[in-house]
Amino acid sequence: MKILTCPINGPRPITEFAYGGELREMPDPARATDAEWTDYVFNRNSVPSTKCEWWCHTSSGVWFIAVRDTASDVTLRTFLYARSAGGAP
Amino acid sequence: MNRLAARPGEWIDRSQRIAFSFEGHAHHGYQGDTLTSALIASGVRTLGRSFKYHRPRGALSVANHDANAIVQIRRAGRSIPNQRADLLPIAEGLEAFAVNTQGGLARDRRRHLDRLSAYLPVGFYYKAFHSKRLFPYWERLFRNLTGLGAVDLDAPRVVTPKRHEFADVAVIGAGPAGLAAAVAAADAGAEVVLVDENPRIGGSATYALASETASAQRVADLIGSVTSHPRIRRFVTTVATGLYADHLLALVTQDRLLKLRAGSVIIAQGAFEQPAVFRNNDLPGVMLASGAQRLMHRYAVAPASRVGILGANVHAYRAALDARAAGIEVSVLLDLRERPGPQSLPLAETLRAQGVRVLNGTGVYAAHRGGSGDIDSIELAEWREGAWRRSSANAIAVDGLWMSVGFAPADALLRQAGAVVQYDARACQFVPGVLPPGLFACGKVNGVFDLDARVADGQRAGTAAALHCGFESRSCFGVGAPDQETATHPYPIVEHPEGMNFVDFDEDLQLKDFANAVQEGFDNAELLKRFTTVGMGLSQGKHSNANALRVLAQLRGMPLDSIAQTTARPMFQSVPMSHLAGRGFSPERRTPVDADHESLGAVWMPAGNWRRPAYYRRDRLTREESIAAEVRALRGGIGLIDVGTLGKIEAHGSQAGEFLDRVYTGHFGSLKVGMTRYGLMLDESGVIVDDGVIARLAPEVFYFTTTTGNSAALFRELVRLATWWRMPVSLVNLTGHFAAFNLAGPRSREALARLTSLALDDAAFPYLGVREAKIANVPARLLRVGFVGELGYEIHVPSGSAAEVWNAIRTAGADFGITLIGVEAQRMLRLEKAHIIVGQDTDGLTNPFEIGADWAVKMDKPFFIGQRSLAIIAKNAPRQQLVGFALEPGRYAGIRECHLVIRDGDIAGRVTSVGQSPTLGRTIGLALVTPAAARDATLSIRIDGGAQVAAPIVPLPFYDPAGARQRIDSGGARS
Amino acid sequence: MKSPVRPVSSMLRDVTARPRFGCKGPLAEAWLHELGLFVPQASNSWSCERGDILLARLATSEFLVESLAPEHAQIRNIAASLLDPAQRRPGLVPVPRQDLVLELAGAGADGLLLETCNVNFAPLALNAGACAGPVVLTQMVGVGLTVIPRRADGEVSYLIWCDPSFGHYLRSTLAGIADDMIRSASS
Repeated sequence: MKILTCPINGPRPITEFAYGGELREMPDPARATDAEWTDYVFNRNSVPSTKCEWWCHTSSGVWFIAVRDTASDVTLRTFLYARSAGGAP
Repeated sequence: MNRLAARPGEWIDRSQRIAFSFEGHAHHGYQGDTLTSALIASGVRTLGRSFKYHRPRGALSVANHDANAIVQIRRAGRSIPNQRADLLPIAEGLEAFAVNTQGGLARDRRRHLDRLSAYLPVGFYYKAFHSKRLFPYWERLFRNLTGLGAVDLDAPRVVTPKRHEFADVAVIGAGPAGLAAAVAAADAGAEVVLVDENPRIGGSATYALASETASAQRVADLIGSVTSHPRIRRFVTTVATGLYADHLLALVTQDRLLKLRAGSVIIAQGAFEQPAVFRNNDLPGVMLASGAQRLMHRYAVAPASRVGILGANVHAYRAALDARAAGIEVSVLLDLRERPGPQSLPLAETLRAQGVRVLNGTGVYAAHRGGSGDIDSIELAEWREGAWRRSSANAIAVDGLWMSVGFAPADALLRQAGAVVQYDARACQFVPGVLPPGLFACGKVNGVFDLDARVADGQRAGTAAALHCGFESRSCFGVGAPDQETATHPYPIVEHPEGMNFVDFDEDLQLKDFANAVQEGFDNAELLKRFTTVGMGLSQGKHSNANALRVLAQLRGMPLDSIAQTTARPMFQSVPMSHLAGRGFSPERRTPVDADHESLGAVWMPAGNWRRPAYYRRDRLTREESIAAEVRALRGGIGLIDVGTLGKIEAHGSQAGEFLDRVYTGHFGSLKVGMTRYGLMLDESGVIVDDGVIARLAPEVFYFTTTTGNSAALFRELVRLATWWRMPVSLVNLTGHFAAFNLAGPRSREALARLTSLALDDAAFPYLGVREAKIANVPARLLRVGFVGELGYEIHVPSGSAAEVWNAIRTAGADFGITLIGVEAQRMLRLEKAHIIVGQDTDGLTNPFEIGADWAVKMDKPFFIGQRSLAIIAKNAPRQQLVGFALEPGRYAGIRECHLVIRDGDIAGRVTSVGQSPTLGRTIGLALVTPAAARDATLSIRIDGGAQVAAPIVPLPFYDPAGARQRIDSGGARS
Repeated sequence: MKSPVRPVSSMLRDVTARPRFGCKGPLAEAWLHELGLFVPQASNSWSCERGDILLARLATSEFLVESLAPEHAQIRNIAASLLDPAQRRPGLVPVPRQDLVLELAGAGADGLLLETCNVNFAPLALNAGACAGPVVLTQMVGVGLTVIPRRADGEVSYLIWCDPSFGHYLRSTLAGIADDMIRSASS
């Protein structure tokens, strides 16, 4: 079974993780047209490529980004999303 | 008896004699015998009946690479199906029976199917049973005719544990290559696990090299290095059946499944000897030469007394020498090759000098059955005009025929892991090409057959595997010399007009079945496999896939390396279901006062992964009556509900209010300290996903609840949102760490007053307020909420103190007739107030407008999740609407949740909640219906059985529309 | 939870009754220093510098402080103060730890972990000491938990913290597995 490396907890089997969707920019709701907003909400790009994805190590609650090649299912690297200005979560 | 004199390294212990029975006849063997070896020693040759034609079958591989000998056994009072005779150790008192027979092995009443074979060609079941009228008859017939073994319905449930294992380097296969690889890796510093399916390590070297003393010594030395090495752990009688992502191996032992995680994996599983294909190649007595050698060297059993040997490599010659050494006459050795190779030549000379007839360029055209049903002679074949044809030579009398015409690599695990294999024309077998990182192959599976070369190949692989894990070897290993001669014949397959030349013994597939399949258009490996079922039997193609591919290539006129093989998937060897099931963990959550519910007569129900009391049992009352009594008790006096399964979360920080404003649809940044507010949560598409109550305990501290089923996932998502939005909000999940009790009813304030010094009058503690105070000396949070529609307080306390608070409440409430309330009563209470339950009165598409929750949605906020989508939704005509309905008092009519609302012959919605209200004395319910249906006076609801019930639509809520009951004033100072 | 330490099976003891508290937030680390407690810096690490107080950093910035003795007035008072609304401090986020806490030790402890957990504890136990070591946040038998290996006098023991709502399930499941292991070892 696949191993994913949490930036804080190290390599663990995939059963210790939950997937949180692709990291995507949200369009500005005030400026997006209805069509643009609907596309953002419902459509996803499933073409095999290198994607940035949200993953959570469920036992510790750590959320991080995994850069994954969805064609070969190889995770290139994982890192914590930039911390907020205030610091601790 | 066919037992040979004691030989060095034999696997049997002659001091322990064991009595067992087969097909009702008594036999004896020794400790260490398998069922196959003991039966052949006993002179029993027919071990089973074939799958389709019920032909008598004997031992073929003696290694479980075929399924000729499958038995049902009785042992220790249990009846266990589908045991492999080749692997099953005999034990005192064992009773074994062949599967797939009717009336026993000898008199199998289905043996006449053999003569009907012309009507049972490949794929016949796809064609013959398409008549709808007759199909049930055929299905019953085939269910009776087929099936292997019988399930023991009285078998006790045995819990089989699993175990995780860890290693730097895993070596699968303990033959010479695997042994050398293990030593090389361990010498480099890696922790090694060496796995072998046999009870002893050594692999094929324990039987195939007996005639060569120098080789045998080399192997013995290797075994010694392995057993004494401190960094090598040996797992014997362990089968590797699956190789999963990131080097996770599924290993099956007698009693459990092991999950081995390795840094790198070396596959040294060797090769499967392949049968030759000729008429009657399945007669008892016809076996693989390696099978005969296993019998002679491991179990000291002579498989025949006058044997013919059909070969195309040096192994055939070694087997002939082994036979001679065991006192078995060798009638003839037929070498398919025109010229023997450089290793075979000297052995051929030795055999001729011993008086053995050795013929080159000759094969077997057909085997013949004697009166006993076993083989008694062979007709010869010679290569003429591009094919094997009947030779004019006389038939030769034999009572056994051993085949050694080639090998197929045991590369299933490699291919499961994504290795690409390519056909090596010189070795006449597929060999691994590009391997994924961390995966290595050595030995016969890698196309290397000579002993020294295998050892060198193993050292190379072991060093490389250790290096992959970061262990550098101080030694340097070169590549061994290429094999002196090929071990595999490119086409050991002989046509015969009368057929019965088997390619797949498990599935009774003859050569012509493949020609038929290709003719019908099933002409690539995947289609051929599915149409013929080749390789789909119990041995999963170990002895048949290679020949099937050769036949396909020949029929299509294509070279073998252009034929793609079928996909290899776990598991490679059959695994008992109990091993996979393991213990079966079902984590269940309980509130801190769970034991009290149990002792007070709770009838349990699951709520998400929690258990909650559905209701509390009452003497002489039915379930419905008990629930109704609970509802009345709360409305009439005071009730206590354990609502501890609710999700409970704290949010801290100066931006906590702003965070909640973005997550929920209402205003929370402006919520006053000491007050609560209902919160509705949407997803990005504007659909309701959760609701709860949000309380502000301090300027920077919010405490809020979520639905039971969603709490863990919701908390995770909130942390993700805070991370994504880069907001410095600290979130704490208190769901399991806090208990929560709902104390509700007109007398609830009076009871609560006895437990706390907190001022409870309306001015001090208004409806929807939150206070922190001590209850029974325990720090608690009290929320005045109205889910059940009466004056009430939700009391939240740390779980560790929950029991004392619960007991104190029950004691204080005893004077007021406090009653415990279960989930069913709670659901009716909230239904009477038309309070929705997310996920029951809403579905995956329900937005707030459809349930009349516009009041909770503040579109004037700068941003909240789902806001932009609601702006789009608001422009469209509404799709559905939540309405309430109520039947005349006393009428039940059998309406249930999810019953459909029908209007003008079309579905116009469905019932989401319904029940008989004890408070109102009538059936009430909620339904999501089309706007048109909502404008009618009644809903027409279709109940079980098809009848339509007219249900008048009524305004909501059903009970106490003004909400007066929740705001009862104390009317004076506290008591 | 009346008695301080309850044996669950020969391998497991219930040490839930010990005083403990948790905290996080921007001011948590400074506050712990104020109290005179030593805070380990590395993620997922613990130390018990004073011998009777174990302080663990969970992931990067959450802390668990636990008394290793059955009673500890100071820890108990701090835990109570964290639950007191009157003593609330912005920036200091209390994490009320009502966990079930088990101690796994003795022969068979490592075997129990091999049966139930996919983390390789052997190298971690080697690195653990009596006063410092790694923290492992993982799952066993389907439940998320916190595991701390400690090695004292050559003996390895494991402290396991679990959400209390899973407490009954975890305790009975692990005890069942432990009993099975003992039974099959002796047969």
